[in-house]
Amino acid sequence: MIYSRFAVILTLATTYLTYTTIPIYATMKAIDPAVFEASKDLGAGWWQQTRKVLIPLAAPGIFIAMILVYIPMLTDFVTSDFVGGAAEGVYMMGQRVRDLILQSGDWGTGAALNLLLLTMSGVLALVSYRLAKLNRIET
Amino acid sequence: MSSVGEVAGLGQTTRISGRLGHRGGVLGILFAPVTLLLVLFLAPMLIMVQMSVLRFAPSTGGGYTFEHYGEALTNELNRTIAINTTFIATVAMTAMLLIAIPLAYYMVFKAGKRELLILLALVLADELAPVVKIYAWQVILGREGTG
Repeated sequence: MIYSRFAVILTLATTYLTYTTIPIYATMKAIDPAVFEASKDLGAGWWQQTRKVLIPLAAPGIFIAMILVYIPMLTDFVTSDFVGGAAEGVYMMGQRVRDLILQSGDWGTGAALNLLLLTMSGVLALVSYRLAKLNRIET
Repeated sequence: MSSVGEVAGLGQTTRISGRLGHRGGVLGILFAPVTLLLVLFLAPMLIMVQMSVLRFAPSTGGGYTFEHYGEALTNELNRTIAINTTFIATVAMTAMLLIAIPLAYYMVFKAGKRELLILLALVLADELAPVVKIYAWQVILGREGTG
């Protein structure tokens, strides 16, 4: 089980679970329980309640959770080092930057790659922020 | 009557002193964090930006170049790694959302008294150092136990 893609995914998922749950918990805390009763009165099953009421109202929290978790995961190098080992397809971006700088001594490419990652994270965060905001206006 | 005047006067003085002392006080409070930010965050960032465009020793002469960006973008290995990373992060994110949304729903609407307990457990689990958590997973997933 260890030294595989599955191990890396499992470890990452459990490591960052708190950061995903807390923002979603916070947005759900603000939902009035009456909306579920209302939707039940209107004949919605649990799946429809989840899809049409719960997820749209919790969407800002979900987007915030995605920013909070996606960006650290892109740069994580300890996890794939320890439980990924040298298996196929577990070499991650953070490891690549570290190996470029500390092992190959290629400071220029390492720094360039790092800045490209930073730009990508910034774009991701902006898009996510925008989506979260848009949704709050709609609902 | 006089008490009303006093109260009004007090309000005015605090407002005025607040306005006068505003700039100095805020600057004083923010000085330390701003210095910390500049020295420990912005300076290394600028050094990294400079490093990414600097021509290094093997190539003759100094000067600036964008070839590092070109190399980082065109390298086949980097592309494979980017795809790998995105795949792993996306699958992990999906798994986390599949756990987190029902868990948050349970905590808010169904848990009742246990809500605080679950919240505490989540936060405590996060307080553990990441490396320790990863070592724990190494032990759980590995075949050789702690060895």
